Amino acid sequence: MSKPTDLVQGTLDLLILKTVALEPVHGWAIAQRIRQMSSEVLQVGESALYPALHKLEQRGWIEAEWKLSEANRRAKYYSLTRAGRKALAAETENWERLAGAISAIVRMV
Amino acid sequence: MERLLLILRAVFQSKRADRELDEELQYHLDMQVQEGLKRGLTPQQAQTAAKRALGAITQRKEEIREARPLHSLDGLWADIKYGLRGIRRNPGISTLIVLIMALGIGATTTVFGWIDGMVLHPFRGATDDGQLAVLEAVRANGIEAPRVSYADSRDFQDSLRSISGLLLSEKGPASIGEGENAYVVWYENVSGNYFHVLGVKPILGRAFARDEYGDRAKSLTAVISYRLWKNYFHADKSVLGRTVRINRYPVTIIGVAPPEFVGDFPGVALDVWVPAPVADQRNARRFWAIVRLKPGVSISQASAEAATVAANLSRAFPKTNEGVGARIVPIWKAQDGASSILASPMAILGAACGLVLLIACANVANLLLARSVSRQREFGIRLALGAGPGRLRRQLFSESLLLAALATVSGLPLALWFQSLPAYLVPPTGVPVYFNVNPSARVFLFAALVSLVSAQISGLPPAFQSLRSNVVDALKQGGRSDTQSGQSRRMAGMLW
Repeated sequence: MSKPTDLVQGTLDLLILKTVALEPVHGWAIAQRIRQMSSEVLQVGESALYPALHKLEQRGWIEAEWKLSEANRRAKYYSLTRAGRKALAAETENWERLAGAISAIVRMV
Repeated sequence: MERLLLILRAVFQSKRADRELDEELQYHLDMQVQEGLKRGLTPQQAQTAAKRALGAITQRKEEIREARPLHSLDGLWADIKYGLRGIRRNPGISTLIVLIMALGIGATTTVFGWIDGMVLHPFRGATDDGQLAVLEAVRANGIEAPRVSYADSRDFQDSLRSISGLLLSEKGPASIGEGENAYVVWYENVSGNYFHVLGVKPILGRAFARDEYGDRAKSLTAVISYRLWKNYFHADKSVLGRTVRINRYPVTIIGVAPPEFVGDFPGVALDVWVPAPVADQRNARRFWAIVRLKPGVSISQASAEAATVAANLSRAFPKTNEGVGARIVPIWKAQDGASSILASPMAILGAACGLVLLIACANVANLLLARSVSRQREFGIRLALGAGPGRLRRQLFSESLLLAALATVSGLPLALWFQSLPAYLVPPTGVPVYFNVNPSARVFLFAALVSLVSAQISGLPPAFQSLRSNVVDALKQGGRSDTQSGQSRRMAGMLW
């Protein structure tokens, strides 16, 4: 029972927070947007997405609301909370530091 | 606040949360099917592809559930129901387990009750008896009785800053009444602050007033025990203010002690308390002395202070106090009284019962292990269906906890009865021997704790053993189910 390792642990949280920050979206749309925005490079599987979403919701970073979707069906829309906004800023900064550090090493040779 | 709501919702609406999760996933599935159709798949193909993609998540639903706060409470009821069903399915082995555990828990609780009541907390009815300790005189030769004189006690009372009160008492037999109505009681000559230091409030009348003690006393007064009031005075409320003769002296009864209070000397039940006439000689050392420590002061601190005061006294009064030290000790370390006599035998008995409990736990663990070997298949199926190892461990633990709880419920009444037995073993001597064998709240707490610990001890080996089970092996119906694996045999060997 290995967990999907397509994405670095924690990075998925950042991607979700960023996606949700723009406007309330449901799970399906989050997966789609991440794929589109990364030009099809990042594929988020359902089995990673939903556990992450529920974890973020329990942590109080995002909140959920049942609304009618564009297809006129009930869907669970997630949006960022105030705590989530702070977390997003912190995670972004973290990510940039990490990414900068890694590319600095990779380009050294 | 919102977070709190979320938590509460998670606890009370886990079913609804599950339903919502299903709906959310269904939505995802439908969208995926539509997407497939757009890409030109047939509806059939689109359905299959989407379902395959989503299939992986059913295995991770448990993970999503575990993310919910207080998730552990979620399945508790289910665990209990399941455990009860398991007990009913194996009534023989379950009864055996409960009996073994009841024996272990019952015996340990009985001895704890004795230690608690007779050794550590003999002063029934006193307020906050943890703060009470004994002040003793210490002599180099260690022969004479460790009693304290009235004059010395005044100095201790005035100079010890670690105590808030010091009482004196001296007990002995007395006759109450005259002629045909005479009755032998055990009484105590006490200091006026006796009831105040012990924190005992008479249920009828009052305790001694200042001018009823010492040189200012014009006449003798007495507080009587509830027992004497019931048996000798027939619970007559007009007893207050009545003058009776105690050892031929006229004494006025001013109060009745509460039923649970029997005195300040472990092992003896007293019936009458009279303020003592004062004796001023420093070497008239005849009083049993109890001090009440101030909150936060340790006994060793108080004892060190008492030793200093005693040293000062022997310098100031060498004629009477030469070589007489002092110490303050907990009641079970005093040189006098039933508590200290019982302390070491009770410690041995307690250790023996602890061993009995351990052996009982080992036996129960073995029985549970035997049962868990025959349940390998069940565990395999549950693991295959996505139950986490933690979930399985919890299931097993709640099962052994259930057994331990049943054992406690059946062993506790027995333990409480056993605890009261010493009262019947006392030979009929002239002394009113009394042991505090009334179970305190601590005894019940102890029983609960022992129950928890023994569930843990006896439940751990089977839990470890069952987690080693390999899903595939367990599901194969081969010889696995009737021969023990090497692991479980090793575990059983360790336990016997």
